Formats: sequence, C-alpha cells, structure tokens
Amino acid sequence: MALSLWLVFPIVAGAAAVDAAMLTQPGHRFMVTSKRLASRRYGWALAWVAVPAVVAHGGVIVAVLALGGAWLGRVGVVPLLLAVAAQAVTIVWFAAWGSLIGRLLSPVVAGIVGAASAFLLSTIWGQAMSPRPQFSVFGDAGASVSQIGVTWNVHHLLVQIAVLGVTAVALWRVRVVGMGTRVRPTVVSACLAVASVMVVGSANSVVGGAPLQERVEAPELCVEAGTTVCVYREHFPYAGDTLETLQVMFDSASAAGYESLVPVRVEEWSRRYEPDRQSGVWGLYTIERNVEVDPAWGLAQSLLVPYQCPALSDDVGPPEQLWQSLEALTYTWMTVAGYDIPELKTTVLEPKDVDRILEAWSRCDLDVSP
Amino acid sequence: VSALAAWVGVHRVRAAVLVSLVAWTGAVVWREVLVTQAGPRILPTPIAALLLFAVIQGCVIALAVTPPLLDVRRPLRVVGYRVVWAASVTAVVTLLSSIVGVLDGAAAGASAIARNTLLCGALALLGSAMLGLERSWLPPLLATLATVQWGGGGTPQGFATWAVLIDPRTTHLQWAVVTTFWLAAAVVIAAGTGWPRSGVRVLRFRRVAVGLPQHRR
Repeated sequence: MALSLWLVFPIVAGAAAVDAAMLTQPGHRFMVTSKRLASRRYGWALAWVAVPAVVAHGGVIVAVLALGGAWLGRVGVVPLLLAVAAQAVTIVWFAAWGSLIGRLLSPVVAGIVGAASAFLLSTIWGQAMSPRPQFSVFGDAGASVSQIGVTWNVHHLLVQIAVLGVTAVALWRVRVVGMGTRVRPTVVSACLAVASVMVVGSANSVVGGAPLQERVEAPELCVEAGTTVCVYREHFPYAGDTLETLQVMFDSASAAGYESLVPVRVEEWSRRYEPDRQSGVWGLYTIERNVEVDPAWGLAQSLLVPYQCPALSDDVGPPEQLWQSLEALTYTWMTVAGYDIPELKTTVLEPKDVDRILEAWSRCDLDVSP
Repeated sequence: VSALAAWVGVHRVRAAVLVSLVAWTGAVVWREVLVTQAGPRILPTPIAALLLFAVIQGCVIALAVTPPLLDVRRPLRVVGYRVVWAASVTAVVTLLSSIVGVLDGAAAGASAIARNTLLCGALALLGSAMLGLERSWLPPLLATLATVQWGGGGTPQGFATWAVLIDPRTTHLQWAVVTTFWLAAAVVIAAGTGWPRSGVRVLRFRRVAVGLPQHRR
C-alpha cells in the first residue's frame, strides 16, 4: 500500500513549494505578511496540494483492500485506521515542508529545491536502512506487505502521527516578513522551524521498540482431507492441489494399515506459528501463491520431519539414521499411495516399523534405524 | 556592457549557478553512495546517487536557458542565438557535473552522468516550455522516480532497456536518442513555442497585464 509513498513525497513538496513561492511574490505579498491573513493563505495553498494527494492515496488503499477482498484483515479497524492516518500525516508533513521552502525562495527554484530536499529527508529518515526493525518517522511500519501473525505497534503509529502533526503545524505557521524581493522568517518562526526539523530528525533514535508486534495466530480454516487439515484463510484459494494430495496420502495409508502415518491433525506453518507436534499435530509448510506445489514426496517429507527436536537445529546436526529412516518412511508411504518414485536402495517398511520409528521420533530419539 | 554580459544579465544565471554549485557539492560529498532502497522496497539493482543528481542539474539548465519572456515572437536569427545559448549552458553544466564521475570512488562514470544530465536537461527545457519554468522540475523528476521504481530488474543487466536513467553504461544508441531529444527541446524553448498558442493566448495576455513585474516573470 505504501510502497509508492516515497514517490509522492518529492512531488507534493515541490508542488507546495511552488505555490507558496508564488504567494510570497511582490504583488501578493500583502496577503502573507499580514498577521491575520498569512497562515490562512499558506494553509489554503498547502491544503490544495496535500488534500488531493491524501485523497488519492486513500483511494488507492481502499481499491487495494477491495480487490484483495480483505476489508479489515486480522488486526481490527483501529490499528488499520491509525496506519492510514500515519501515512496521510506523512504526506501532509512534506507538503508543509515544501510550503516552508517555497516561502524563502523564488518560484523558479522553489520546486526543485523542495522536491530534492524532500527526497533527501525521506531517504535519510524514512527508510529502515538498518538491519534491525526500528521506528522510522517517515516510514510505513511495514504496512506494505501483508503478514500473518503481526500487528502494528500502535504506540509507534501514535508517536508518528503526533510528531509529524505537531511539526507540520509548526512549519505551516512560519511567518515571513519583509517587503523587498526577498523575505525572511521571523526569529521565533525560524527557531520553531529548526526545532521542528530537529525533533523529526531525532525521533528515529529516541523511540524504541519494533514497529511490528507479534500476534500469533493459528490457521483457522479446517477441512477434512483424510484427517483434519487447517490452513490460513488467505492461503485457502491456493491450497487445492496440496489438500488433494494430502487426502490421497492419508486415505491410502489408513487403508493399508499404516495408522501412525495419519496424524490427528495437520496445521499450516507460518513464520510465527509452529504446530504443536507433542500433542500429535503435524506441520504443513506454508502454502504460497504461484509456487509449484511440491510432489507428494516433498510433502510427505515435510510432514514427517520431527522439527520439534532440538537436534535438528543444533551445530552438530542430527544423526545419519534420521535421514535413512526418513527416506524409508517416505518411500513406504509413496509406495502405499501408489505414486511414481525413483528407485531407492531402501525397502518398504512394515506398519510396526513405521510405528516404532515415529514413536521414537516423538520422544526425540533420532538414532533409530529403519 | 558587452552583448554577452547583457545576455547573461537577462537570464537567471545567478540563481542557476547557486543551485548548481550546491548540488555539485552534494554530488562530490555523496559520490560513493549507492541507493539500495526505494521507500520500503529493496531495489533489484542498486543505483548510484550521482545519477540522481542529474535531475537538479537538468533543472539548472532550464533555469539558465529559459528566456525571461517566453511568448514573444522572435526572428529566426534570435532563435539561432538562443539554441547556441542553450547549447553553451548545457555544455558547461554537463561538463561540471560529469567531472564528479572521474573522482576517486565515484559510483557512476562520467559518461553516464553526462547522459543523464543531458536527458534531464531536455526534459526540464520541455517542461519549461509546456508548463512554465516554475514547474519545469516535474518532467525530469517524474521520469527519474518512475525509472527508479519500475526500471530495475527483469533483464540480465539488471534494468529494463527503457530505463536509461539508471544504466551505469552508455551506448551509442542512447547518446543518439538523448542528443536528438535535447536538440528538439532546445529548439522548442528557443522558438518560444509552448503549447499551441491559439487557445492560450488570451490567458497569456492577462498574465502579462495583471501579473508580476517583468523582471520577476
């Protein structure tokens, strides 16, 4: 959603700068040096740039949500609205920045100076260039990529809205004086503007915490495919092939008497959700769109691997027997289910051998041979 | 006052020099910087910041070249002088900005910077003729932003064929196209033809009548 915001900032700032610069020219000057009229005039000019940009951005967000068919997503309406508001305030801030630049320059250079400075500011303070996620005052808090299992850090959104809102007002209220070809800001306004920019610049290092917070969610859409298989509802439209294959595998396994190859329940993995294998739930790899579905072989292996055991992730690595057993188990399952598989030096196991291996694995005893 | 001093005097050379030098200093300081991210998106191909400075130098060209009164009809001889003036300004700005490319550690070569400056200059000149000098920054800026956003990736070189502005190497074809385009833009601005004149003339007259004093326009 906010992938294109960085394109909007320089354009908005440049346009606002040109408008403000034209307002400040001799001939219009009385409108902006008068205490009563100044803020209102600059405010209208600023709004004339910022409001269409914000409305267009909002329109894009609504269109994307409508096309995606996920109106509220998973995190609820308040964080969603706050995130949109934060992005809107960023646009307004850059309009105010451009307006300030424009007041101090002639119209012919205001545009490029406003646009270039906005690009510079948004590049320096807007990106999470650092490897670890952190608060970014012009950033989108990761709003551009839909992610299951996280929600916005509402505290960050509120800080972003407050800091940018207050400083945008300060930049907008900067008063200029002078009747010659050049104007200058009043001392108070100049101090206020400098302070505003410093506040915005220091916000990134002052505000701690990660912009996205964990909000672990289990897959909620369950179907009967020989056993209960649960996937995330966002992934369900692409899960058809996988579910069909699973159904065939589980049906044939139980028909041939390999009951231990049919788990109580299968759940889709996500980056932050791990199915609880201790209680008999097996994990299914994350289903992705436009990705070739694994053949049954790969699917079976991913289901069987005892990922809950620490030996799989430590430095030494699991014993050789694990891979032999895994190969034998998969070979057995594929043979039982009638899939085409390459010739291997392993044999089809008896149901009791399968039971033995899987029982040992559930205790994280990985030394068991086929 | 010599003719040249008078010619320089009626154009916005002082502002152009100022903006150009500031941008040039920035380019020297950040000559090693590679832009790796556009907003939250990681770019498929990192882009030398030096190539992006061409937007500002292009606007500088428009600033110095655009005559103070755009809609006065001119005899052919004057159009010729104006093209020569545009060529001189463009040559100086292009040379100055591409010098950074031969400095130690520069992330982009001199010829790529020169090509970008020429292209952005042409876009800014056209923008000045069509939209007015105040908005002449819009075409080069939009072209560059669009190229950075959509021009990367997709091909073995790391950018699309049309994405000339982020191509670190120059080809003869690019030079031919960019130079022709610049020449066309220079003729347009020199001839003082912006949009087709018939429909806009009334508006233009009003601007002349009630607008700013002549030296500010």
